Amino acid sequence: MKRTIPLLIVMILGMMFVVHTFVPHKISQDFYNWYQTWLKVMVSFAVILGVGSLLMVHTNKIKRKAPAWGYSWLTILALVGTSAAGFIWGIEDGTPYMWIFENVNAPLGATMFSLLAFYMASAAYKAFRARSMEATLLLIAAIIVMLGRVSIGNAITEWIPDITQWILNVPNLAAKRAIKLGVGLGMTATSLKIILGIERTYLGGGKQ
Amino acid sequence: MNKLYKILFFLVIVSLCFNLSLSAAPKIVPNDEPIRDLKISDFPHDDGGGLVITWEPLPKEKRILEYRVFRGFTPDSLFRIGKIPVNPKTGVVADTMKYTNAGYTFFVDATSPAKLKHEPGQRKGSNAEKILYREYPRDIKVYAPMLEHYRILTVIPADKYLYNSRMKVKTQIDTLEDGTVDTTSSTYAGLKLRQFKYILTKLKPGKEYYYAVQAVNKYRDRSPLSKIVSATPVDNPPEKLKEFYSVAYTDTKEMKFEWSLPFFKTDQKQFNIYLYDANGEKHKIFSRATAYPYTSQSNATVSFEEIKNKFEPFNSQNMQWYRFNISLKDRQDMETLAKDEPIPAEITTTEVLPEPPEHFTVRDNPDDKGDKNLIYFGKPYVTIPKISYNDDFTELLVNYDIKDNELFKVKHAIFEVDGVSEKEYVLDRKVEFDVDPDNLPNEIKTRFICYDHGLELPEDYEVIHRFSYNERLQVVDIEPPKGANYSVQVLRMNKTGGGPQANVWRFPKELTYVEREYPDKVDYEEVVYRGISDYSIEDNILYTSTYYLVGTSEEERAYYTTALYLKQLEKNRKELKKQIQSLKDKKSQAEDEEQKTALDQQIMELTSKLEDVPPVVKEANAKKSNKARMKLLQKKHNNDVRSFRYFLRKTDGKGHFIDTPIYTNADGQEYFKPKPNWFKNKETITLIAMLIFGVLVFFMIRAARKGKNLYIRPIAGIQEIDNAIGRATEMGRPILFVPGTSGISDVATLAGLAILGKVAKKAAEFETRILVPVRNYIVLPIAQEIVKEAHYEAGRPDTFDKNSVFYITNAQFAFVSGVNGIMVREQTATNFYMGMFWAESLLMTETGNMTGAIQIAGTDAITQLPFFITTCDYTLIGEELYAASAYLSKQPMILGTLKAQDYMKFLIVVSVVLGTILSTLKLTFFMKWFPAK
Amino acid sequence: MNFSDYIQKIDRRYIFIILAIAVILPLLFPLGLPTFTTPPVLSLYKHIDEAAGTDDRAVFMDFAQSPSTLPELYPMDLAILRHCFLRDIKVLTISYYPQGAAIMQMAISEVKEDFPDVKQDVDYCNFGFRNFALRVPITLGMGDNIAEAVETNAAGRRLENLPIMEKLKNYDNIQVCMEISGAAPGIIYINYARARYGVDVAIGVTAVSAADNYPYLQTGQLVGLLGGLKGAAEYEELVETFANNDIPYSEKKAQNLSWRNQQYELSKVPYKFKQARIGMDAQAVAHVLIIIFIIIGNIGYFIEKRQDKNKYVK
Repeated sequence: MKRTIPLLIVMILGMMFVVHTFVPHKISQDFYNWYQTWLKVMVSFAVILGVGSLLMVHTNKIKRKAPAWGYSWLTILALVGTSAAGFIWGIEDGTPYMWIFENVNAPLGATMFSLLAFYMASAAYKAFRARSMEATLLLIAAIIVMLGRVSIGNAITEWIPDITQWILNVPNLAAKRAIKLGVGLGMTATSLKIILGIERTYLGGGKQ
Repeated sequence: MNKLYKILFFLVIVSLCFNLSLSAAPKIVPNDEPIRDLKISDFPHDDGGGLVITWEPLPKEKRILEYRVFRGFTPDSLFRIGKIPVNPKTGVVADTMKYTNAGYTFFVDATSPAKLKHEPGQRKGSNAEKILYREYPRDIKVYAPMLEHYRILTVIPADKYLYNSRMKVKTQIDTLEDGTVDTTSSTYAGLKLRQFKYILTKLKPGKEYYYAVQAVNKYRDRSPLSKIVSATPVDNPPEKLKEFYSVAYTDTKEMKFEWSLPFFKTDQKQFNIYLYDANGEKHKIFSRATAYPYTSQSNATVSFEEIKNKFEPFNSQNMQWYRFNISLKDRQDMETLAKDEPIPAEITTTEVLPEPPEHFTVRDNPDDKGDKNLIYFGKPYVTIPKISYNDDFTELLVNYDIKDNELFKVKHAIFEVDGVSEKEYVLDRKVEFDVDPDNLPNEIKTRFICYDHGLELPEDYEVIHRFSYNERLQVVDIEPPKGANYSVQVLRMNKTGGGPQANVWRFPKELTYVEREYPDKVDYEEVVYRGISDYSIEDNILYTSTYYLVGTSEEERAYYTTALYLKQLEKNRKELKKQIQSLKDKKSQAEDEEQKTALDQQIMELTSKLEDVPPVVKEANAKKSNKARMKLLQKKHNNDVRSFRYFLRKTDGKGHFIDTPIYTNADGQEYFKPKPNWFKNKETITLIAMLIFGVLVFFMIRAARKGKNLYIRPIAGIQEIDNAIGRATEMGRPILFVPGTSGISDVATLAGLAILGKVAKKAAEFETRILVPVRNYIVLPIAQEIVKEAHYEAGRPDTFDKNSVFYITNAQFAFVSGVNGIMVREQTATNFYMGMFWAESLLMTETGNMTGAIQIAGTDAITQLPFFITTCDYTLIGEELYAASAYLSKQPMILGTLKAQDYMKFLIVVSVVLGTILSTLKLTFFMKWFPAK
Repeated sequence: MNFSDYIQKIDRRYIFIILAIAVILPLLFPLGLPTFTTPPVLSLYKHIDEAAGTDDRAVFMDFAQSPSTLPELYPMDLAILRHCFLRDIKVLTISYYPQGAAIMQMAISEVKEDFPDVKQDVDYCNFGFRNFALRVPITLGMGDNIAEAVETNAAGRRLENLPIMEKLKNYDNIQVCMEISGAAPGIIYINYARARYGVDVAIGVTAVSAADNYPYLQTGQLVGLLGGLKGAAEYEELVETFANNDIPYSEKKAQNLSWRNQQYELSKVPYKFKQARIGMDAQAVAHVLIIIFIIIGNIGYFIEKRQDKNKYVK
């Protein structure tokens, strides 16, 4: 019973969404809108789960005096402080919450994001080795595209930007589309397996 | 020592940042001055419901974030009605700021604050502290008494109004001067505030309103309140119509008028056209109600005879003597003439007019939810947006766009330049010609080949475009084709549209000369608009009027108004009967003949009011329950307001226009209501593919169950999963598993979770700790459950730690830093990334690389694949992610679907190749089975 | 560890620090690498430049931007506004996004600082922020009468009373409709203004979405396109060489590199008008650096392979 009811819900709703794709009728559209409203409500309740988990993990760490448990205090403090700022003064422009967002959250996020450039450089340096025929091709393509994207490529020869465009539009796009095709099929198959109840891991556990 | 250096370094950096930010931060001027020069002016051309508030913005140095506007009907309590946000960095470039309080604006709804609260942050002891309030609250004790100071419009979901409102009879007892007691009772529909969509207010003309403005700076400091100013909105005469044309057609003996529509649309009632005779005297010759709240027609045809009826001495021979003018009248009967000097008519014949649009057809628009009628007309057309030459003028590139419709669906197009023709099999919007650089062409002809299912296109039909090369600008100029100044107006009228006599057509759309098709939107009526007549604070209920409109399809009255409740109906009938009876009594006592006939007349009127009810309403009234009755009426009402008849008018906007007849189809149907469709035809091919796939899955599963050995291509990444877990066990370090950073609705997340189940089970068997950080809180409980189950299955429930599956944060890069921290601190031996990833992918895998972990990734995010491939040991590309759980479980059911997937892919590849070959051979039928998005 | 090993396994921290220096240095000391103009940018430049000195042609700009796309799109805003102010081209600006309106104001005031003679409502007019729901009605209405459709400028003054609008009636007087946007730009102008009134439409987009818009260029529905920082840099360069000297574009001069180099000294250009080029410099240096690292790694790899081979031979 614990399994059957959720499975039934998944099956019925899954089928209904498949039907919704093919039926433009008002009934089908209204059903979809109704579902959307419910979704919004349910999703907001799930926040509690997330926050609960975060608190539990970190209080545990503090209790066990796990390594670097001091940071757990910091996490909890930030969580409580930021939420309190939001609850007390609101989240409009100019409030303490916005101040935290603009001066702590945003720059930290941007810092992490800009690390990407450095990581890309080191990853490219390590990965692009002419180990085989394919790897050599990849290497050459990468160099051409990198040059073609900046003015230096043009300064060497005006062919480079054209070749860059060709690489992006032809072989690259072809490969992308092939992967997309596979992904599409894989998604359909997985969805089908879920709707038909063949795949149930998402309910927890393997078979049964 | 080392630690000390670290701390010192950290402190230096922090103080540097602090200093930098201090020196970079500009000086802030305190926000201690009120706004100056606050003025209120009347909103022009409206119905007395609008005021415009202007003031001088504060200087940029004050870092103002927003200006808040407060309004009240007394100067001692002002409510916040709006704000104007400003960029605190740049300030306002202009020298005045403006807030318009016009038309119906938001008042309250169920989401308004519960209690009346003062505007926060005011200076202690200031006037503002006492009189400023936040938004209007949803507390009926506060807002209901304010209703009378404004004009009110409520928006109610139709179902709530029709089925969930409560009937209320309110009796008013008045003692008349002669001592008799007069009771009048009225019926209302009672609704709670939460049943309304929202309540809107508009200013009342002639009433005084008070306004004040306050500026809030970047630190939420409020400026002192500005001076409180007041103004009274005035009902203004309508605006002048910008354009007006009058044309007399001597052969058809009629005049055509055309004008531009007003900009301010809310207050308008009527268009009147006047004729000025030789003596300059004014005679009204035409008048038509506007289609408010819809767009009105902007033209009219008036026959000489009709003019003669209105103005006896009219003689068309003397047309040159007459002058014409048009006026717009508002609901207060104020009138504004368009032209200061009346204009003469252009005298001409209908020969100057173009042909009306041919093959005008209306039908239901396919593939929709039933909210569009499809209108089409005319033969196919091609537009040429651009023509260009190559550098040495040997090639001509023509960009084109085909405009067609159901009747003539273009299959191929043939272009001809200088006698050379190119047949376009695939209409890809561009065609090339080789040209002689010394003798550049100047004309391109287009002919069309249409599909057979429509009408037959005349053989000689062609579209010609002329062009020339502009030396100075180095571009090709394309001449506008003949008739480009004409557009096609679509006009429509529904069954309650004022009746044929009123002749008020709505004007939903003007199409350019190139367009051939138009899906006309006919929305479902989901809300009703009502005023508020009364309220009850004790019951927390608002009362609106109760009536409902039903179309009659009769000549004399286009619609019939009926009561909302059966009880109300009964009450009305009783009252009517009582009135008739009393009249009859009066009549029997009356002696005067004249009085008797007058009474007879009254009795007849009342009787007809009682009896003359449209059949549907009669049928509905016979129903037992209110609900059944309203259901029937609502059905009829929706049918009436959503059934339209159409005609087209081709016009140049200057009084030269020609109409098609009102469209009737072969069955004589004149009114068209969109039908909700049950199947999207465009998705047929998808459905077929899905069915084929379903069948394949079915057979493959059966084959697998029967024990047939299905070969599946080995995937290195999946085979390595066991080894990778083994490695972690050997090293005694934990495993990290990131199930993507997307939500549960992403199929990739589900696939990732399926793999998590298998990995967790293996890990449990080997007694290796597994860490699962989660970014989405809906995924969290599912992942927890999966890991728990895996431990149970492996027979090691004791080793399951709930806190090993945990939520970090929803913020993308904060999540990354969390995961990276875990990798570095815990020194995880094996990292799995399975699911959907964005820009965070490389940040995680590169860190994993640094810690020396074995990394296996799987994703369907094409943009992130290169990162995974370069930094991970094994990567499951796209579909391999989805296949992984099947590989790991080796269940026949799941293997079957995998095999079916391979066959399906084969079929797709076959159709791609086939389509390529066929369209290369100029056979496009196969390609057209697959509609482009 | 021998040499081949060493250059194959350079510590990532060295790579990071070298890259950081390589990116920061061009930002501080512009290199002035040559910029090559691509056809979509050139076409837009020429198109806008045609309106130089006329009072019955204006450039219409729609700012559909948000702060997140500021680094890529803001240099475009500045470059186009500067072009117009330099060449005496009338500009009309509007935004249907509150954040876009703020950026619009910022861009105008920043460029205007350098042009004391350029006057509001005479040489340019800021229509300000309009509700998004009004976008289609205004876009369509401008075909008949701009003043009627837009009604007032940002300061609330009626357009028909402004000197700039005297000869600007409708789309016939609009040289080009330019939408600068991070999302799906230009569609509304292509579908309404272009299809109906034949106005020329151009767009400025982020580099990521540039590829999606190439088809519109091919079909002629767009007269020009600025893609990302690169597009902005190319436009900046054109403005610097031609508009800043108040001369019209000429193919011959453009191909004459030595002439172009004489036109300006990068260090004297205010930062705001060269930020795209500087950004491109940094990007170019970063790309070259990564290429160099890749090559170094491969040299190490080949040396190692050769050594291995020799081992086996022995």
